[in-house]
Amino acid sequence: MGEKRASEKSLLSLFIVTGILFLIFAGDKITAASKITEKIYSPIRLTFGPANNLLVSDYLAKSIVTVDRKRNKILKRFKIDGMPLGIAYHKGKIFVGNATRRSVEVYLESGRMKYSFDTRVRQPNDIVIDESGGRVYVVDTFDKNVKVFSIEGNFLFRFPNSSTVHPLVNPTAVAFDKKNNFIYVSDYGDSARWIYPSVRIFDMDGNIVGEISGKLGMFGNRFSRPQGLVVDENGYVFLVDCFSGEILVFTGLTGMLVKTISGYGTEDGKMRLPLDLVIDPKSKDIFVTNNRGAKIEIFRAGGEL
Amino acid sequence: MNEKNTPLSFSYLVVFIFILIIFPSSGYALNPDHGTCSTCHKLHAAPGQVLTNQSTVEVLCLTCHGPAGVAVNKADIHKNLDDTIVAGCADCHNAHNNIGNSLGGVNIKQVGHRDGTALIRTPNSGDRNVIFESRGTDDAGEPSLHSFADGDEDGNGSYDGVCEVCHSLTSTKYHRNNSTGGHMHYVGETCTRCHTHVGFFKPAGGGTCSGCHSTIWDKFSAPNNGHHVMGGTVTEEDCGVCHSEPGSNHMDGDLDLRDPDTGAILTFPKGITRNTSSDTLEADVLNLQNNFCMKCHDVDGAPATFNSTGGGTDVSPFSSSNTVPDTNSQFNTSNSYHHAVQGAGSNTYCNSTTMEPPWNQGDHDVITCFDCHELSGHGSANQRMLRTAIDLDSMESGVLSTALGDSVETFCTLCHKYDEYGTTGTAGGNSKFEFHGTNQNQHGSGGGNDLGCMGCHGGVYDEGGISGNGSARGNIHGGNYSWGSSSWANGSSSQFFMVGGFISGWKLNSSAGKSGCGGGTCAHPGRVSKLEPGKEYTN
Repeated sequence: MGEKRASEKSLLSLFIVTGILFLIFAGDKITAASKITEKIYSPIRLTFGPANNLLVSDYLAKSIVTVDRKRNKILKRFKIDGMPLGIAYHKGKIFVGNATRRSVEVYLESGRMKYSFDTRVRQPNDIVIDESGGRVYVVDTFDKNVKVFSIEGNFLFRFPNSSTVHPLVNPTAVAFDKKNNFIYVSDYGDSARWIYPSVRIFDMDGNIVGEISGKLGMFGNRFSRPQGLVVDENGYVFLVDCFSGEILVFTGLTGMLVKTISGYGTEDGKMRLPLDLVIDPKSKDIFVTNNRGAKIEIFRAGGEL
Repeated sequence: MNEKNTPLSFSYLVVFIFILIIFPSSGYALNPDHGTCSTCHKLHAAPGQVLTNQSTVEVLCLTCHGPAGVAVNKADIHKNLDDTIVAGCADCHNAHNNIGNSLGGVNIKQVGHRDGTALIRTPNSGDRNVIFESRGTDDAGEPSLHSFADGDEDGNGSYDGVCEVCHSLTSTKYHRNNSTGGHMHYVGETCTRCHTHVGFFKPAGGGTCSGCHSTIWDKFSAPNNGHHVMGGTVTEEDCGVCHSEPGSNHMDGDLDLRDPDTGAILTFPKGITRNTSSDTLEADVLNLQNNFCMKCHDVDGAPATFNSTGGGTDVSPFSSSNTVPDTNSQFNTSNSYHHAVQGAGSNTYCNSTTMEPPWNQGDHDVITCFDCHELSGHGSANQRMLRTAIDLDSMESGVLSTALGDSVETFCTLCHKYDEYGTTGTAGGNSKFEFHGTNQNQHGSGGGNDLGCMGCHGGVYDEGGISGNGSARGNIHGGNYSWGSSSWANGSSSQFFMVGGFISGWKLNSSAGKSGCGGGTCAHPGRVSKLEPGKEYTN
């Protein structure tokens, strides 16, 4: 009798623990439903391009790859003269950060170069376009700033400027918050100077308005190597940490962590050196460049909160 | 808004001291470029089993040294050609700091690991000492001792350079860690110029031409505004239009080009030069001109090097949109005027009196492309790769100046005697036109002719209002232009390159044994009106 009661207690405890674990981790149980691996050697950044297909910068292959989203296959690729980093798309034009030539170049969908920007960008790591404002924001990791251009490639200004008290330390990527008209910039920080990794938030003129810190408690980091990021239509920030392999989801200015997706690993749904992501606004599918995996990971409905 | 966080906390200090107590022999002083322990070690949430374990070192390093990372020095792991031997970052580097080597020096770039002395655990040769105290200077040759692959330059019986220390298999052709194989492969060059760190150390700059040949690559862009790929940006595929490399013939000491019509490999010695002071046309120069340059610069372009990847066509083989000029046809000796590339010229007035040696006809009645153009297929600061600069782009767009006329005169008088044809020349009278040289009456650049020689000859400029005077680009090579029947020249065939930018007609004045011109915009007495053919200006 006593043994039976003990057994029932054990079963009940197991049920409760399982239930708690399910409640805690249910939201995180998103696996990569599929992946795109065909001939992408070193995927860096990606963006939505013509016909809502994906445009991916392939660093080692020195090319821009168009991925057919319906078939998850490469549709075409065109070579550029150098190693591509940042990429953005606007009205038939593909804006590419060329790390070799240290410039931003504009290509037609055919792959023909149309023009290049008038000011050197030494490490054009990421590009985002404010379509309504007609501005192109380019992260220059080498110069540790964001350079702002017109769509035609004329230099307008850079931020932060030398007088700002909140300079960027090691910026890597940039996103545009359409809802609030903010610019989000990932920044590694500098552990030698005890400056933690963060996401810096600026207004459209480059004035800092907020920050999501990577610091957690006395020792810990919520993230340590922040790379590509996206701000969805509700103001949630989706950020990839290329060291932990995670996608972290924050409330915008308030910086509350609400969700974590994926993590480090080689198995399905895990990533090694993820560098950038985009979210389909309708399906909420998340597409991530898994650099060391040499593929694009797809997290079906991963953008749903 | 934590811009700058709390200074080193007491807790961190305790942890640091604790580590020193536990690992006193390691003696690591952290490389300042790598920040603090927490730059790489995640105390409680590392992806691996311990702080950072081997399975994640590659990713850890590449978070900064990868393409999108923040480190200036970009890198990737080492792979051999068939990817059978892969070395990770920690196989060659100790990320904590530089350590001493077996010769008593200190290695740079954190090369070597193990406590005490810098070693590398090689795939086939066990643990070996590694010496890497210098990486040399990329472009100026390097002090190769104690650098990438110095052989046994210090005579201590050890091949311990950072590149050669692992290489022992016969499949590695050069710079093995013993005396076998070749040790003369690009001695004095920095290995990572061609075997780049970002390209897995594989040869040929990660598989690209520009990876190794960046100096040549730069010739295709400003300030070198005269180069082959005009109207676009040179691409890797463009190199393959002219060059047959890469292949087994790459780096064999020869220049291997591709026959534009057949695709066959054309081999030339490196460093072909044209001696413009010599009567003798070099065999290699003629071979290059006739079997390479002229086979592309002809009516069918380069069908065998069709650059499909770059979007080229037979007559526009590069990735740019420009069409290959058909100079082969322009030089045809049956043309009424032509420069003497395919055969001797027909202008009897180019003779020992009017030409500079060695172009003074008797000894040197045939010239080459490289008597006027630089012998470089890549590019130069001079437009169209001319031997001396002429701003032909400005000329073509109608921006004329005395300096422009002077530059034309300087160029033409490389071969045509200045004393006969130049502004202040004194001889004159030996050419078909009586106003060359002495008494030029404004025909020279110094007399107000902003096109210089090209005001009357060849040229790329057509003065507004003179329609169809044949002064299209490239006609200075040769042509068959005939003046229209309504012009003062009345349908006669032009000779002596009389298709210049300022004239509207030309014909021989047989009675005087000299010539006259239609004048064009040169409305001075005795010349013929361009507006009223047949009527001479009287004032």
